[in-house]
Parts: sequence; structure tokens; C-alpha cells
Amino acid sequence: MSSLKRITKELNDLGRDPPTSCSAGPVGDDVYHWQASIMGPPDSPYAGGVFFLSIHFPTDYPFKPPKISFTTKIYHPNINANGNICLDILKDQWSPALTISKVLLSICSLLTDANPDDPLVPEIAHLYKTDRSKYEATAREWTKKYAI
Amino acid sequence: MCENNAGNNAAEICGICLESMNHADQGELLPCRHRYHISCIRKWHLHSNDFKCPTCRKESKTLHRKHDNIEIDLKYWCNVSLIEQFAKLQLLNQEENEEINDAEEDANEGSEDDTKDEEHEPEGLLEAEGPLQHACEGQGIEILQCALCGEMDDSVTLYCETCETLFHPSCLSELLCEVGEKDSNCTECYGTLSRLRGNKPSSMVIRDSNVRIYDGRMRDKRSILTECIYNRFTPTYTVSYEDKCRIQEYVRTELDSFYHRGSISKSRYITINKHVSRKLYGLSLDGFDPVRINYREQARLSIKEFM
Repeated sequence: MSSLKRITKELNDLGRDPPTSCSAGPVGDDVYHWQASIMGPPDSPYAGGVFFLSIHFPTDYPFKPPKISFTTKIYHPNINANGNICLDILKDQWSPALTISKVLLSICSLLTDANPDDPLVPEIAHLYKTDRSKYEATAREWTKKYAI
Repeated sequence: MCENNAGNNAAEICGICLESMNHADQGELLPCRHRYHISCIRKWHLHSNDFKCPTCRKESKTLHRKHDNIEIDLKYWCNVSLIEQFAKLQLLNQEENEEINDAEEDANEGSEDDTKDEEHEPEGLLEAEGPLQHACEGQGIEILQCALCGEMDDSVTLYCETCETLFHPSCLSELLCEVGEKDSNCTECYGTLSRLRGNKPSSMVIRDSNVRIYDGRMRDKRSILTECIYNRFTPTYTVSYEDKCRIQEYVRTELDSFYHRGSISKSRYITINKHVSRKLYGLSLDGFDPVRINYREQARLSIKEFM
């Protein structure tokens, strides 16, 4: 299957040239199910934390986007309690030229620059917009509690 | 990742499959000039909503096939090979009765290849983009294409009286079930649908006079475009697509545990998911409201009701 070939290829590329702030690889024998980790960006309230994500590849990958969600709890306007991420490139803006490595980098930048205008958790987005320091304090607290 | 280094002589990598390309199988999108395997970019176009380049997102007009220096107009191209496959079948059926006439040089679609004159054998027809259309001339093949799944066959029997879009009744009922609608109207213009009878409306002719595609849109059932139609189709609920996704997550999370324990089958999972999600949409008429509605609890209760 072409999806298998492409996923294996990505895995090899990740091994050869690993991105600095994230890592990813299959869980057990199932090449279609990966686990990834992201280091909280230093210039964000998530700094110091390590966040785990689960990645499921559809069988028609890369023509359909991978399903990615956080398994580590995180306080963020675009990530909900189930770990679901609101990110356009994982939905209608998906492109087959994107790779897991690129997507993880985009998630890193989402951690640095949240998008409160398209929130998944309206309460956090509201706080983000109205009381940034309180939002940052909570995000730091959660990071300390769940991701360190 | 070193993809699409235009002008690089070393093995160029296709940005879609990440495998190397050679001269014969690559195509260049214009105007952005990013290159992919012809088969990869074509497959993407069947899934995508538009003809934007996967790398730079610039809208592409044509695909330049490098090895024979042909520019393919993307607006038409997506249909071509399916027309050919369908026409090949038709030809095989008709073969016993009549000889295929010599094709004439006819440039009705300047973008297509019509160089191989000897290819009037059905076996060879699939290899080239153009000759088959000529070979079909005089035989009046009509192709009915379902606007939802893109398949072309005789079971496409519904059409919209207003915009003349065609549907498989089965595709439409599947869609109706998906969006929770009862009345079947056209997904394009909400017009009234009628059953096609012997004589088909002549205004549906999109391409040349002998190979006809009625509203020839190429779509994959699983494509993003089809999903968009699902979403656009008059919803009974005022819940937005994003909110539906959020609600569905709750339902799936609850259902997953049953599924993983093996207590429900895949098809049962889908049915319950559909019904429970719909029930929760009904509760969320003012949008997704996790404060007011305990979705997790509601999902769990509704699933229990169904079990």
C-alpha cells in the first residue's frame, strides 16, 4: 500500500534528520499508529514540559490528514480536554506535501502563538484575550502538574 | 525535506509520496512549477477541493507532462481517464457489432494527446489520454456521472430539474442519512430531483457531441469535497460543522470503550455513533455548550439506550 511506503519513508527521514524539539515513532508493531512528543517551546508558558501526542494515519494517507491528539493534558485555547487540536492544516488546509515532522513543528508554533479567534475551548480563549497573565499562570501550572 | 528543487539534476523527490521521480513520470504544475509524479498529483486532485499546489498552495491551471511536452488543462483532465475506462467497457460491448472507425485528427480538446493512431484496439486505449474519444465517435456513448461519488454508470438515475446535476439514488440516500435529512433535494441548488427516463435532457452535454458527461465532476466518495457537500447540505440542526466534530468526539470516546472491549461491531458502532451524535446536536441548538450540557454523560446515557 502506498500509505505504508510513505509512512515508512517519513519514519526513516525522522531518524536520519530528527527535528530539535520533537520526536515521533510507531507504537509497537502498528506503523499506522505513532506516538510523538513535543518539548514546550522556551518562549511559552509550556516551557520545560514534555507533551505526548498520539498519531493515527488513515489508510489513504497522505491524501487525508493524520489524526493527531495530545495525550498529555494541556491548558491551551485550541486544545481541548480530550487532547483534540484545532489546527487548520489537520483539517481542510491539509496538503499531502506536509509531513509529520512539519505538522509537529506547526503544533509547536501553535503552543507559542495560540489562535484565540478560532478556539476549541472558549473559556480559555476568553481568558487568553482578557487576562493574559492569568492564562499564562494556569498554563504554567498545568505544565508543571502534567508535563514535567 | 528537499522536495521540488526545480532544476536539480539529482533524483528529484515527489513531494507527495516522497519517492524519487524520473523524467517520464513527472508532471509540473503551472504556473508554480512544482513537480510531482503524475499519478500522485492526480490522486491528490481527486481528493482535494481545488487545484492548489500541495507545496505552495498556488492555484494551478495546467499540468505540464514533461516527457511528451503536453500541457493538460486541469479543469478537464480529472475526467479523462475515467471516461476512457468507461468508454472502453462500452467499446468491448459493442465490438462484436461494429468496427471502430479510424479516428480523425480532431482537436476538440487541445490539451489531450492524440498522437497514437494505431491505438484503436481497446487494449491500448487506456494508455493514452485522447484517442479513445475519437474512437468513440459515431457511437454516441453517453456517460452519466454521479455528482457525489464520481462513478459513471447506468444506475445514475436521478437528476436535478434546476441545475441538471446527476445522482445515484444510493449515494443521495447515504448522504441524506449522514446529514439527517428526509427530503431529497439537489445538493448543489436544493432544486427538485426527478428520475431520468429514456430521453435525457440534452442541455446536460458538457463535452463534445459523442462522448458526453452529464455534469462531469470527478469526485471521490471520501474526498474533502464530498465532505464539504455533506456539510453544506441543509442541516436540520443549526450546529456548525466544528461543533458537530466536538460533539462527535464525546460520542466516539464513549463508544470506543465498547468497541475495544469487543462488545459492539464496527457497523453497530457507526449506527450508534450517528444516532447518538444527532441526538446531541439536537440538544445543542445554540451551539456547542459544554458548560450547560454534560456531553459525556449525555453520550453515555444515549449509548446505553441504544445498546
